Amino acid sequence: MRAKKSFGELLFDIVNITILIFISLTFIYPFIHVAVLSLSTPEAAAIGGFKLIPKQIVFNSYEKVLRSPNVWRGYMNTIIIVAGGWIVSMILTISGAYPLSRRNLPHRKFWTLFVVFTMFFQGGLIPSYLLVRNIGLSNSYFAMILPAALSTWNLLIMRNFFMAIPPDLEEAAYLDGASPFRALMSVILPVSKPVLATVSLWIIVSRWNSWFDCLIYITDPNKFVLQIVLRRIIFADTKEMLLSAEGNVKAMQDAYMTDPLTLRSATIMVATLPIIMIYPFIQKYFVKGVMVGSIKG
Amino acid sequence: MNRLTTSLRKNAKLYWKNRFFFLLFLPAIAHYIIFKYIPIYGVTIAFKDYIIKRGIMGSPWVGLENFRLLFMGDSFMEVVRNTVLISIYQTIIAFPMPIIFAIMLNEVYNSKLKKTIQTISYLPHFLSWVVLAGIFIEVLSPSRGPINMIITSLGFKPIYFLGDPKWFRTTLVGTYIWQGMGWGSIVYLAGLTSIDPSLYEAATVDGAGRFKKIWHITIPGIVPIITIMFIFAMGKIIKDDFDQVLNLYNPAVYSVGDVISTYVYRSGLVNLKYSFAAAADLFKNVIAFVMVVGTNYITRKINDYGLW
Amino acid sequence: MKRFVSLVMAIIMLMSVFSLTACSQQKDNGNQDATTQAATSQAEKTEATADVSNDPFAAYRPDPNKTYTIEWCGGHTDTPLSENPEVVLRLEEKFNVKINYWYIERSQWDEILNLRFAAGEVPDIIRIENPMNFEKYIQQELIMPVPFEVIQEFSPNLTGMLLEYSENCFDSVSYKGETYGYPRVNVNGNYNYAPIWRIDWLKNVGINEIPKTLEECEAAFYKFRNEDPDKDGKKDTYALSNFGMVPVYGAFGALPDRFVDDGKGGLVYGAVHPGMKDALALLAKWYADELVDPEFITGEPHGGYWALSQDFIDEKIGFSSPGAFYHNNPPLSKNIKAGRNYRTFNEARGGDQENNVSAEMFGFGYNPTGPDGLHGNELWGPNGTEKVVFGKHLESEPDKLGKLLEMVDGICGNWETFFYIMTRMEWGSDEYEVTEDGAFVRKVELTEAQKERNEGSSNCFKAIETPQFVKKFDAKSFEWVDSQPQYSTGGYEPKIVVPLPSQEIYWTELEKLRQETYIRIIVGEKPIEYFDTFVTDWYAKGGQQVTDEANEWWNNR
Repeated sequence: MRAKKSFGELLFDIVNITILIFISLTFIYPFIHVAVLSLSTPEAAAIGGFKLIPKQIVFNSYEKVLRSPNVWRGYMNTIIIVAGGWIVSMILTISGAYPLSRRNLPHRKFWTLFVVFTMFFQGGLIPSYLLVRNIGLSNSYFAMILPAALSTWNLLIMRNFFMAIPPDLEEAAYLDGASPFRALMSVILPVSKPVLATVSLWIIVSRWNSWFDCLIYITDPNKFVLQIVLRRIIFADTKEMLLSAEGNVKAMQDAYMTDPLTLRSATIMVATLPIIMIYPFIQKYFVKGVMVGSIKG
Repeated sequence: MNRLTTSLRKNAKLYWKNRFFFLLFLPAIAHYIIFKYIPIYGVTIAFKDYIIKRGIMGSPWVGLENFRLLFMGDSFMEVVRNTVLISIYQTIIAFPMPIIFAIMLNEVYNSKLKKTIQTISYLPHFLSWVVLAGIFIEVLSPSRGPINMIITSLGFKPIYFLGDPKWFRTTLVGTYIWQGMGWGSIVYLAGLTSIDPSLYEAATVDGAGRFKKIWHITIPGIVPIITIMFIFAMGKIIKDDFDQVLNLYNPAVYSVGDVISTYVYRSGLVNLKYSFAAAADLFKNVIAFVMVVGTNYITRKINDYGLW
Repeated sequence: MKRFVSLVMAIIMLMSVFSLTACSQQKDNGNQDATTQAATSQAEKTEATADVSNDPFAAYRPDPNKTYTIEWCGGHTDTPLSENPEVVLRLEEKFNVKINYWYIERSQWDEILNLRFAAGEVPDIIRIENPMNFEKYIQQELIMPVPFEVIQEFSPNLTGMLLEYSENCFDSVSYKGETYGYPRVNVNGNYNYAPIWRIDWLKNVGINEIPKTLEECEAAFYKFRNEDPDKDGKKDTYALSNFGMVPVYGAFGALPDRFVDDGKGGLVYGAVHPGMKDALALLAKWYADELVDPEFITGEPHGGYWALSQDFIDEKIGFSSPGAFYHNNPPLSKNIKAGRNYRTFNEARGGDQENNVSAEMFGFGYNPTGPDGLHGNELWGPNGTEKVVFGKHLESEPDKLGKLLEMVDGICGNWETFFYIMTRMEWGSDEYEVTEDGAFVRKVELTEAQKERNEGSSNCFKAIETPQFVKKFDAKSFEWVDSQPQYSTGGYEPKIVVPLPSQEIYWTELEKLRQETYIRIIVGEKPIEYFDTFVTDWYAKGGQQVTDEANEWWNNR
């Protein structure tokens, strides 16, 4: 039976929701602005001021972006990297975070320092690049997955969540004679859905948005990820000269029909919408009371 | 010698006893060694005059010359001051914001509304500063922007947020908070869902109001996360958001807004010295590391959710 | 505590071990540089068998039986996206080579090329954009000098045309007396920037002629601010913003961001040129009198395209100087579109390509003449800052170098090939028709797949934009701009196109000082007398060294 809400509670709710809605409007505005730009003609886009509704909807920018088979190949490559990266990263992060979360791990301080040190002191681009080449990973999908697979940040966040799990849970499993691996799989992970979801989200978004490592390690255009393909479309379009690569004046006009601003807006939408839509799937793992069930049961 | 062998033997026994844990830990260790520790010799670039054909190891040492070049610029101290001040504002003000936002969202019972607001709140994170700067120039404009329209309708004079040195830092911090609030709240929301609901029920029975519940249950429930996030936030005090500042600043506000990375960036355009940027990076990282270790030492007194 | 110390020492030990292993790795790479390229024993053969007495260039003659593999680094952005663009196949066939093109993104140029260099890879031919890189690559021994006679021998057509366009263009690609390759000349380099005016506003305030002198401009500016030129009853218009300030500086003998003539045969940096004090005094007065838009600090483009004047389009100002002539030209014919500023302005008022509603509003003006009869605006100059140079390893493969020189001549010095690269059509064929305004229009549309296949491939191989050829493509536009004297005469060209040694140390600070000071004086934060302090400061903080080096370079060209 729910207690009846007092007046104070009601007021709290109203104020809370009002503020949240107001803030949300500010959050969503820039996105709408970009979306409107992506659907505008270059001239309409250049007229300054607020953009809430497009004057006239044209799809030129989207056509230019989506008609390119390279874009679709880019999507494929990105999905491969994201999926592969997610699997590898989760395995590494979980298997790294769990031992570190055990308070009686031998030399725990040392191992934590071992991990944290690398957040601040890095060799830099050149040695990493040479290493990847020397291992033979150049120009392969692994170059985009392996080097970036383990982030100390993710590791430590996950470690802290594991540390916050009531010790009784774990002890119960060990008393039953389980190995750490069993304890991890049957006790810790089921109860850690929120952090697994959060770290997954971070990994997926980071892999989805990554472009620099593709740029330096991959030379085969068939393996370019989406972000690289889109960047090239934008850069290729900012030609200073009056001349177009095609020499055909009509093609030149086409080029002008999608000027960098509208084109860039369209590529942002194309690159970002898919990843934003991932969130609802992750959401269901932020479920309350997951832990409670396991203690009582 | 005896002491060494006994301690080695003790350790060997310890590691054998915990062998399964270390087995689990092994892939992570391997990854760190291969991809992070092997290339670490590159740190030395900051102390060398990098000659491409000789490689990093073969390039001559110049000791602290690169650092001297960095520090001798007249504006260097000004730039460090700006970086630190802006970061301090951001840390003090921006750090609690995602937490507050998460708590506020947590109190919304209508799950559809909650989900919608959450998803919307992530959107700014996905837009780069190149795009956001163009939008903010419009929104914050003294002549056309809605913010100033509100300000003038209240009877005040319009504020040139991006062009007035008195307001620029505030603008940087404000827009930074705005961009990161939603995305940054995810991790706290994850923590909030782990809190035992029966605690809340018990509190209601005891007659506790909203604020009391938040103070005594919600916040303590996410202390493990807040602790580690706070330590890292302290580490970021010397770092700056290059993209944000680069796209928003202009010469009128250099005196308050020019930060280490934008300064180095402009120098880079002129002298293209790889070592110079490396020296600036190392400088920032050493300070960051010290901050982190220091903060960790302090938080250790309070709880054990710090680094070590 | 002791435990902790021993743990830390263990880490240090670990790190040293790894550094040593890395050390040996790195040594491998250090030795690889020259040998990673294709077979190189060619060198010994050609040098040994060269018949020097008859042909001084024998070493450079390419072997007609050999198919060379060319590592082509054409520059940012424009690199073919797909695997087999027609252009590449055509060029490979024509010159009997295999082409490997490098894609390097402009914004990451240095990062990525540094990595390739570190791994021992250097392209055969490379287009350098940032002039600072030129000297850096020479010092790092990445590119090689090529005797001018060799370039002339193997690229006679191109060299001839370049020298015809600008007789000293090879200066910008020389270092310590040696030539290193080709200069990328600016096709639009001889055209000054010039202002645009709201001519309807001028008429509304009673001015019927475009102002020519600074005084006439000033009179017009006061009216733009105070006499409601847009006739909407509100005092919401300004005269100018940041772009409009440039010709004002020009009226006093310099532009603040480049080295200019000091009137005594030497050079002085514009920022400290004495005439700038008068310019700043004037601008400060205008700012105080509200003629200058206070938001000039965030710039006319509002964070968008660099040459777009959002404020002019939005009717906030009536005078501007945004970008080059081709950003502002009116629609010239059915096929030649208006420049971006004009087009956007027109569209904002409901017009389009056929329907030019802005003809009575968007007008072209002169760079105002100052009290000493001086005037001018930004001028890029015919000698560009970009260069096309060759990898150092070609010193042991002179025949490949010869081949490359021939290739470049065959593309950029040969009209038919150039035309093909630009349009993907055969010159003289019936694939296209020539319209009345001189445009080459393809008769049959390309499919999307075809367009995609060749995207990016023309600019990559168009190593030099040969001015004589380029102008044939847009004859009408060049005809127009040649008829507008404000564009085709005068202007302040940057005199120094190479990095000066002291700039490395002092330039960031000096430029920061300049930018901050100028704004402070204009907005009135500092009085005009501060300019003298600024000049002294500027010279004292390294400006003197830089100026001396500039003059030394200038006198020894």
